Amino acid sequence: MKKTLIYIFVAVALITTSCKKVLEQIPGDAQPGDQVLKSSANVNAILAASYERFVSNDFMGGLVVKTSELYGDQIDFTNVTGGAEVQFKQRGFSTFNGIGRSLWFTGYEAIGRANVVLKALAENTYPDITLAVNDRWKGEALFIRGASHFELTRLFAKPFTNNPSTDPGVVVRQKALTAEEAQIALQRNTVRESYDAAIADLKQAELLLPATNGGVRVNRFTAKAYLARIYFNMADYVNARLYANDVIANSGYSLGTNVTTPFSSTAAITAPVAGVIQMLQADGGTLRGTFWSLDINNTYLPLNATTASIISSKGGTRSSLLTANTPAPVRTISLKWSIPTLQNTPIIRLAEMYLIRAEASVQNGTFTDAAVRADVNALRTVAGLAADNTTTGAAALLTLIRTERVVELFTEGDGYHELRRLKLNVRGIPFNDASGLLKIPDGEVRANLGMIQN
Amino acid sequence: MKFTLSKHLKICMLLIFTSLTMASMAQVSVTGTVTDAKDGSPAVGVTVLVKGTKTAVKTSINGVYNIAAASNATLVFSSVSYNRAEVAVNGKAMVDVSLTGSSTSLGEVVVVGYGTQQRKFMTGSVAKVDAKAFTSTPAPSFDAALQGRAPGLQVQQANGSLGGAVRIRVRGTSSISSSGDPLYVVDGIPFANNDLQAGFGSGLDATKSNNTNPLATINQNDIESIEVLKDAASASIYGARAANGVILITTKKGKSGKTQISLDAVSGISQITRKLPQLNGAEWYQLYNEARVNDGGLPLGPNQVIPGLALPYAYNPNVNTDWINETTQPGALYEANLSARGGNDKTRFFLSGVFRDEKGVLVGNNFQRIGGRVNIDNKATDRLDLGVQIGIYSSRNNEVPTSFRGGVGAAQSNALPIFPVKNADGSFFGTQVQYNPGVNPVANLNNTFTNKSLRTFANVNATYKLTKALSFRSELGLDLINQKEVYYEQPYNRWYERTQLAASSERNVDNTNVNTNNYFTYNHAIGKQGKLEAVAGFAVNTLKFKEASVRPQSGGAGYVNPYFTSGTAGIGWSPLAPASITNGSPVAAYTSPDIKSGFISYFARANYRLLDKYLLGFSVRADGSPRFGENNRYGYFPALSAGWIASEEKFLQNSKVINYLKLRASFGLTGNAEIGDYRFLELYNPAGGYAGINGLRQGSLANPDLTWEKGEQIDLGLDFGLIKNRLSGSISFYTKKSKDLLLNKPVQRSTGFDNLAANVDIQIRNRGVELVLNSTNVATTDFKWTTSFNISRNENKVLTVAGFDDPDFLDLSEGDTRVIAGYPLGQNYLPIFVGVDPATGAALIRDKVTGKPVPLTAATQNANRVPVGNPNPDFFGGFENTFTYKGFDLGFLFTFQYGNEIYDDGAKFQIGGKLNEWNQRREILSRWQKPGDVSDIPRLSLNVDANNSNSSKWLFDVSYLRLRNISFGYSLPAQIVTKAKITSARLYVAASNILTFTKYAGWDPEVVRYRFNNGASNGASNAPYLPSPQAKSINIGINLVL
Repeated sequence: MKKTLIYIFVAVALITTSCKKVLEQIPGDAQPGDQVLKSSANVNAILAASYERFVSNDFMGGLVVKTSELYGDQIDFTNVTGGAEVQFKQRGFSTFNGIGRSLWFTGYEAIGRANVVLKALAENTYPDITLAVNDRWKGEALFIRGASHFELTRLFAKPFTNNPSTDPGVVVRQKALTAEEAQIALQRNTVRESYDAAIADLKQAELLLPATNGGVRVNRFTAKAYLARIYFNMADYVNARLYANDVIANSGYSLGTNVTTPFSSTAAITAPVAGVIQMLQADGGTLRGTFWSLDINNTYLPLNATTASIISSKGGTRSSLLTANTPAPVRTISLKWSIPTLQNTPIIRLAEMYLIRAEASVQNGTFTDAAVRADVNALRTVAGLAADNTTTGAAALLTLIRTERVVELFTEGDGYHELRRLKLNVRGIPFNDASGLLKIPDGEVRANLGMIQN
Repeated sequence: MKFTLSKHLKICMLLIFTSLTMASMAQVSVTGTVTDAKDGSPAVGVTVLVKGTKTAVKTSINGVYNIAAASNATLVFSSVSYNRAEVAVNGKAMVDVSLTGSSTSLGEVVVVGYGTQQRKFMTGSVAKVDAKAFTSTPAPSFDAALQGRAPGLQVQQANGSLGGAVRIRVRGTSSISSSGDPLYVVDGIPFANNDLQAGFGSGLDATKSNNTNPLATINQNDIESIEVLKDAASASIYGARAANGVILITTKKGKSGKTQISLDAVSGISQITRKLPQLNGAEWYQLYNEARVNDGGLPLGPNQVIPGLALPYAYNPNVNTDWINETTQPGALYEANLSARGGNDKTRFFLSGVFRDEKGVLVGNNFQRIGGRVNIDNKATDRLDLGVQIGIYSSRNNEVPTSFRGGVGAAQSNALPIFPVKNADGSFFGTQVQYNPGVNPVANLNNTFTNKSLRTFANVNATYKLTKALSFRSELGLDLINQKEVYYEQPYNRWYERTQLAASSERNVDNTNVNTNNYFTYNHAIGKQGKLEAVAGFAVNTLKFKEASVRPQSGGAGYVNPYFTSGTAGIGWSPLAPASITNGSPVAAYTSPDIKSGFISYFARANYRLLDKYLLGFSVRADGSPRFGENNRYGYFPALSAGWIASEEKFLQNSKVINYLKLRASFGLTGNAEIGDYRFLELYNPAGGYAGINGLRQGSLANPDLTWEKGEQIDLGLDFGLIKNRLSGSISFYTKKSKDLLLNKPVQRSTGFDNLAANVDIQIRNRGVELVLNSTNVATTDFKWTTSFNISRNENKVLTVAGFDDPDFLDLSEGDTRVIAGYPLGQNYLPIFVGVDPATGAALIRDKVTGKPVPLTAATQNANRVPVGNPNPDFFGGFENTFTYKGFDLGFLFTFQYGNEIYDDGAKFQIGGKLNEWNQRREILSRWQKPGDVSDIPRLSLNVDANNSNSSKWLFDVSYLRLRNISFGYSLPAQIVTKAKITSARLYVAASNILTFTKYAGWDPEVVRYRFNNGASNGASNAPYLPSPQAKSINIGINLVL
């Protein structure tokens, strides 16, 4: 009996110890979090996944531009009869709007992944990567985070030119979250706080990023150009001019010689494309499907008549090479997004820097007519137009610059933000009318019913 | 002191007197064996009393007794299990007695977790269902046969499709997003009952509208008994898996004696219980035109193409197709079951084989089951018992699409009666157009979906008796499912651009469940009057899941050559597919990772009884599982119970009416561990990358506190036997509270996440009362009549919702069901329909604020939703009678439910909402037509915003009383069977569902929503969408015992 009991107990002990591993199970197609951030290759992979969200059709590579155009006054709404888009036409937005959801969800996924990269780099040292690589990754993550906050703010909030210190902006997320933290209800920050967060990230990125970083990853001048764009959008013309000038003077980029170059890049690239500050390796499907169709009659969003006529009269090769007219009923469509396969997508171009420097100089009041005209003429030259050597005076110069801006940047998501910067009416409603804004989507609000809604 | 003395004195006197009296008579020592008249097995624990004296002993484990008695004395044999018998000694030294079983269930031995108990001494709430419940009924699977047989057990067969799901709830639903199904245990081994077909997104979802039932592979004839453990005292020993109750299945064992060979053959026919009344072609077309006119248009002229249909078609008065007739059929069943049972005192065996082939009532539906079982018990030595139970069941289920997937679902929706089955050229109507719009269920039913499942149970065990009181048992069991699904789509049902592309997909699943139980059992007297029964041990259970599938890529790939019907070699790209996609492989493959889980468990139970009347029970289990967060790796589940057998007390001992009366109470904790795997872990998953670098993303956040859902149960009961135990029964009151329910708790999307798995403060309470009565009304030699009746009431209520007060927050997303504090789980949330405006024909709903009727629009619908309806029955149960007269036997079982309402989620489209594209139910004929008409069906229109026309109008009372089973049999008289050299022969006719009393005007009041997931199964089961009919059947059978 005693012996048998001992056998039993030995057997029991053996079985239980050998079965302890029953409790330690992990899936074969996922990696547990406690190990992931210890490997630099994984950090690089998370950064790639952050990029992927940033450049996706649902964000920078598509919807950011599409949404800005749907908000603005440069497109023809004839074909918009249903779906999420019709809410832009009718200005009755729902929290379920598919475009609003995609923008918000995707932008914040890019931010969330960037935050994980930043956390990993802050908490670990990776002997297998150099300090330069470490800084570059950090700078890229900060750029994605800053630029995403900025784009979300200007698509979901009233403009900075209204009441930035009181208007609700977006929820600023600058920390990788634990489960507990993710459950804490956060209110929208103010527009100013949202802009400040973006600027802080980009200024840090500017210091960390290298001057060049292959063709499709962001570099120091991408950060500077974005800062120029943000300051300009805030009507902070001193800083806007400073950064725009920095990019033009120091980046070494050229405007190129052909207006189609920025929109013709399809293959993998390792160096900047003429005229483009930042190219993203994107799919292009959303932009293509929105602004162009193989059967151009079926183009979903043609340019409206006003915009078309400005381009055709003032555009030069931008009219002849970057637009086309459909058969009757004649509509003008943009050809910027007309590559039938994958198209590298420029998200910020050197031309914008020239336009910012020109207008910011005038707005600052310290300019010479010739210098301002020279900036505009730089673009006109590429477009095959004669230089303007006659326009003088702030008012005339501003008109010249703004016309040039429409002609240069149509269907790139610029016009709407210009209207709001300048406090002009947007298709009949005031620039600060909340009814013209997407709602904060359901996925954000349902976990925080107290969220201030547009 | 004085009192004590006198008492002692009395006892002394009594003893002296007794011994003197005994001495004065001729005392002999009488021994004997008491056996069960039924099968000759030893009758254990029978009290043997010398009549007129206090001399009594109990029979041993072998049924043997030894008692001193006068040679002229009479011995009284009594036990709760057997009818009382008196036998005169007549000077014999050996008196063997054979006792017949008592009609009461009190004496029966009940299987519980890791052991057995006598019902008489049980302190828990356990319902037992005997083999006869499954063997003589035509039920498609053993779980369906449980309907109406056990109190507290709600059994709903989803529909009449073969191998289809059965929804079982033990004392209500106590989870939202985790499984609400009970734990199944076969011969001690936990047993997988999750629908392996439902998951993992491999694209094989042809019939996903209807879950399959993994229990359907089992041969119900192999089952000896089923025990349902309902309260904490009985179920807590299964710890983290016991919150939904436990169903123990015990297979048949061998019996010593002459080998009995038994042949059961049954053959039957079936058909749908009721046909949904729908419009014919002419009626539909007339109503369609009426709607056109109402909308301000003109009726269509002859040969004018009907606008808005899925394909261009003009009405042809010669065509009138009854699509329900086209998609349903008379079913047929054939089953043969051969078993042998025998052995000697060393080895006993049970062997069985089954073949069952069933044609369902849905066209194309066929189920076949082939299986065998070997159960052997061997007494290796005096101390060592060995046993093995092996069952292998193979099933083949030709499944058919239902509900929104087509088949009979299409027949009640988009298959219009004006459509023909075939075109003039013999091809199927509706398949000639690019992208078959799915309006022809007959064509679609020519696609085949076959689910072949091989299920293997293998269980070996050894019991070693260490001492008389202490034994050790070790069990090792395997439950293995190998499932293969093959889906073939006909070329005419699958198109790419203008090419027909047949397709075949396959999916293989292995589900492996290995379990070992090792435990000590201790049975010993404690003191003179006490008895302790204790169990302690541990169990390890590992669970593995793996699947692999292949299919053609969607959008352009398939069998270009229609001759091919299987294999991947023939899969190619359509010549019309663009070069951008044809660069890739036309075959898509998917394999899941190895999904591994399991449990390590330690358990103990002690039952103590004093004087056979005071009962005390305690059990505890610790369960560790990789499903639980690291801060909560082990859960502990204690239960405490007590009982008092009042009938053993003096004041009742001589009662003529009350023979048995026990009060019992239990309290304990249970858990629900069916919360999914790996959910507490922070995991990084592969993700899209950038610029040549593969991506990795944080897919979930760590929640180290993640835990099982917690259950707290209180049970109070009264068990009784009255009038010579001819009327026995039990009444139980219980409260079952579920806490810390696991949810995918939504978080702000700005976190980068949609939701995270967390236990939240949502509490659900199930509270109820159960009554069961068993009565032997007549018991003469020739005529016997017994009645069983059970009725249960369960009140389900959500107590707290963790601050998610907006009903839309906890949207169960199907059938407009919600989780709202103060209401049952799955409460419908709808505006109240008040009628149709006689002036305008508009549907009116009640304004939530003013109480006044307002027209139903999308906006008013949303604004005026209130909790309405009753998703659960007020009460349900069963009522069974059996009669035997000489060789004849008659039995019938009624089942019933009362007070519950379904939200018929498709009715709004079938009655006015989708007149332009669906056939309509006949109720629509009483529609509003002109001002002044009083109707509850609004004016017809082709522009109804049907998706936004939800209202309480579509709630239907599905109370029913149904003749679930009736059987009539005749056993050949003894003279004949003896001549034929057989033991017995019985012929019978059995029918199911042939009579139903209900107010419900749809298919059948027994209906549940198709379900994809736990959430829908728990919360939206009362909201069917295009349900499938139930079947009724008549079988004839023969049962021969050689």
